[in-house]
Amino acid sequence: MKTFLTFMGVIGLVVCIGGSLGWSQDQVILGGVAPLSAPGAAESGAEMKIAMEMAVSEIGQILGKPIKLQVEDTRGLPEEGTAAMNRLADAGAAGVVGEFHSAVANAEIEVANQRKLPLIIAEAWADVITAKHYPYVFRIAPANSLFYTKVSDWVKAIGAQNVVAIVENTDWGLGIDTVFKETLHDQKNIDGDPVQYTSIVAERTVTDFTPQLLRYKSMSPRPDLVMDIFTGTGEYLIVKQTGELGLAPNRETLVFAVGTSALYPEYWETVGKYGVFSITKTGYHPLLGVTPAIKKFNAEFEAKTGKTPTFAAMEAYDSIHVLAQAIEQAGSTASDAIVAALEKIKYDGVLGTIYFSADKKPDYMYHQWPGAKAVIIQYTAEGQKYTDAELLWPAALMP
Amino acid sequence: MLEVAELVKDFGGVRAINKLSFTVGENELLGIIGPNGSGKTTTINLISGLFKPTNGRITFRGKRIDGLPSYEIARRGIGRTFQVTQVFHRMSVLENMMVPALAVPHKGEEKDQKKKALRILGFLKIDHLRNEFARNLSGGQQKLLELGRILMLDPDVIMLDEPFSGVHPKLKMNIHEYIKEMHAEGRTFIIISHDLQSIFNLSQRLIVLNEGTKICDGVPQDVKDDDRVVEAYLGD
Amino acid sequence: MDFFVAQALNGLIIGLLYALIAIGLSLIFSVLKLVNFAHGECCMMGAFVSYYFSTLFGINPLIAVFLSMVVVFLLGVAMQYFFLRPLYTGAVERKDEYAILITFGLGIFFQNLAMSLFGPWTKKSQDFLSGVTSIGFLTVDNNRLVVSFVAIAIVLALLLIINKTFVGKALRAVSQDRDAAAIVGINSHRINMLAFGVGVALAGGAGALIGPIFLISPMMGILPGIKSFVIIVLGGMGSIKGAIIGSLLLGEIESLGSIYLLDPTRGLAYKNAFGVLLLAIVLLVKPTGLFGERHVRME
Repeated sequence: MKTFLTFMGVIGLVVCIGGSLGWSQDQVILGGVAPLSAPGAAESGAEMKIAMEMAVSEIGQILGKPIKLQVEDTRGLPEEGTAAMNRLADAGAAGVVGEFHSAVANAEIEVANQRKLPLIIAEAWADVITAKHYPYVFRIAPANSLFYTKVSDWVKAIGAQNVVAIVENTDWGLGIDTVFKETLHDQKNIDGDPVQYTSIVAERTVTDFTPQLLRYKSMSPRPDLVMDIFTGTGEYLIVKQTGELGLAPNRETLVFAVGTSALYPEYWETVGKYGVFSITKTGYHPLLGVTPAIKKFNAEFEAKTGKTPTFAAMEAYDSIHVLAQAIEQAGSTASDAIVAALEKIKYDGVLGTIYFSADKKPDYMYHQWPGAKAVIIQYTAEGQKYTDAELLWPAALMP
Repeated sequence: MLEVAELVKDFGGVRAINKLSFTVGENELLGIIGPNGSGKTTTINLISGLFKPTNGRITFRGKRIDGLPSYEIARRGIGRTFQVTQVFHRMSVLENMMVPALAVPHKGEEKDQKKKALRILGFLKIDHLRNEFARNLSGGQQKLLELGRILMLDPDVIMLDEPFSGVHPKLKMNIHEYIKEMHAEGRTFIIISHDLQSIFNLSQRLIVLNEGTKICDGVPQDVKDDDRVVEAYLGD
Repeated sequence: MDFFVAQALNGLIIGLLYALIAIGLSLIFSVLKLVNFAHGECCMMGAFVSYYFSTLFGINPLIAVFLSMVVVFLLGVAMQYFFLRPLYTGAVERKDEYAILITFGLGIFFQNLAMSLFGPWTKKSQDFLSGVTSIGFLTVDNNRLVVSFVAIAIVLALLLIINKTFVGKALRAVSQDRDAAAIVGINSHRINMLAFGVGVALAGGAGALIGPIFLISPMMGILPGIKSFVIIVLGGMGSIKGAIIGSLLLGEIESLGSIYLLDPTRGLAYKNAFGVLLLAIVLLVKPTGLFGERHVRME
């Protein structure tokens, strides 16, 4: 009996090894990480996954071998991110792209660095992700500091004096909070008045923001702007509850839904009329220029899903292309060769010509795409697509 | 009317009841005695359906009842009390009495049931406590309440598990009387007790258990003189 | 003062919603002597069922709440029959462990089922009554007002049923002593089924009610599930009164606590900790919870 078991074990082992060797020789594995279920921002994750699949089917082959895309659900949880990265490394992925949540990305870059697995962060904004200067980590999304200092400029330019915020206690949320504290609070606005910035940090699972919103409502003078620095359900709930309490939107106060969730149809389903005149940001807007590449991507994405893609999808799509091109240029799936190729890459993607900076000043600029853009937009009608929303900033782009 | 045949009950690896067989006749007053852990309460738990037998048969009025759920056995006319009284603590005495009526609501109007409950409480001389919470009753009073509660079901067989333990001596006398009276009405009794004096007094017939088996079955006088019984009680 | 009243009112409304969920959990515990770790998911199921009733079939959202309670009741009856009944027929040896594992497992199953059936997206059920009501300085979302009244009505109806009806008395009897109820002829399997069905239906109703207020998604039940567990430990396991008072207490302490305790700019980050903190203090002073009887277990 014992001999038999040993025999079977050996056979099993041989089959396993043979199988995995067979895999890695026959195909190139590209990894994907994205939040496909709650508490992660599943809307964005689903979109990113579709975009990755589109890119893979377009590319077809790398180094003459078929591509296998393996997308892991990170659920917006750092520990899931770590596990997903380890699974991908074990599976023999040549590189990984994706992620939406900074906290998760922050965990993933550690694995990328440890296991020498090239990782292109598609849509996580916290500065720290590139500020750690890990050689295997690259980023296409803007860094918080890159974009939110511009938001501060806008706030000052509209003459706001009293800005309040509810911030999710994640690397992403707290990162933005810090940028506002540094670049907005006690700074002079366009009229020369000091701007007061007050923020409240909340856990991501909180569903009732009424107590804090009531506090903001009782402020005198009334806040000019409520910054909703949340993603997912929380982001919707803040806009909704702000509306229900009569705090905003009105002549005195507006809501700025900072998270990406405000770009999806679910936004309108959940916030309804309270979303009219709400403000949000996007990394893509038709006014930034509709290149043929964007037109093609949008058309294909809409044909496939019936939905308008957001920049998260575009970033995921470009990330796959960038990774694939790097592997081609490196001529192998060896991670150091891929990293070297990524450092030299120039890829004309949907979002623009992507390349990665080698500067280490400011901190977050290392392996960061400096060309990442974002604009501030405002919805003007209920149910409006974000592509139809009015552009508020930067002024240079306003029609 | 009640027949136990080849009854076996295992708990894990321990055999608590080992091929136990006995019968109980109509209107009999049977006592079961035996040292601690001899399987007396287990036997009652098996008959009343709280435990499922590992093996063997229990027949009541010619029909198998082993394996039936205990509420079904109760509805067929076998009532019991517990060694440690189990009354509904957070209900009044009267509410306790009304619980059996909940089980078979078709058996009569609530008003009639209430009348019946009060009559039984009167018989047991605890009707003055009817609105008291059951947990405020003394141990003996709780035993009476438990007895009263099963009388609500008009059982043909009443199994009493240690009806005299922890009861005030005066109350013990009353319980003797009630049992005799109810027995005279035609009910069948199975009584487990450590109180040998009481049980020798009351029972028409005695069964002695030791280590899950029956070691003696007969009229009290014979049992008293049986060597095996003495040995079981005194040990070796 | 105005500010305080507004906060207290909000806490009260939240507390009432907690009460609906927690009473169900407490009812289940009192009769079945197990903690239903799938309770939050039953809440979620109720939310989705009523969402689809009102959006797909155009049923009035309030009626949809009650229909969803019926559906979740049936779901509960099925869960009880197929997975929990073995606990009471002697088929299971390690009862406590089995109960925990099976209910946890069912909870995870429901989460994933919902994810594949309904998608991961956040949805909003139809408003019961849109708009807001302003009384002086108070502004309250009409949905919250409607939900509060419905919650009060459901709780009162339940109390009435438990205390006055045949079924309610049988529930109490089984909850106080399962064996004693069985030997006087009460079919405790049926009572189990009923208690579990009603318990989860209350959670389902709560989920359906919070749909338009706090939105719905497959994972929406996790936090309410945990909170209702905190509440019933706080109020005393198995005590309905304890569950009600515990819920109101938790609602208030979360609402006021995140404003008046600690640094208000960080208060919301600790919101979910307040309940546990309160629980710890109560348990130190009174180990059985506010209205708890001595700890009861499955035998």
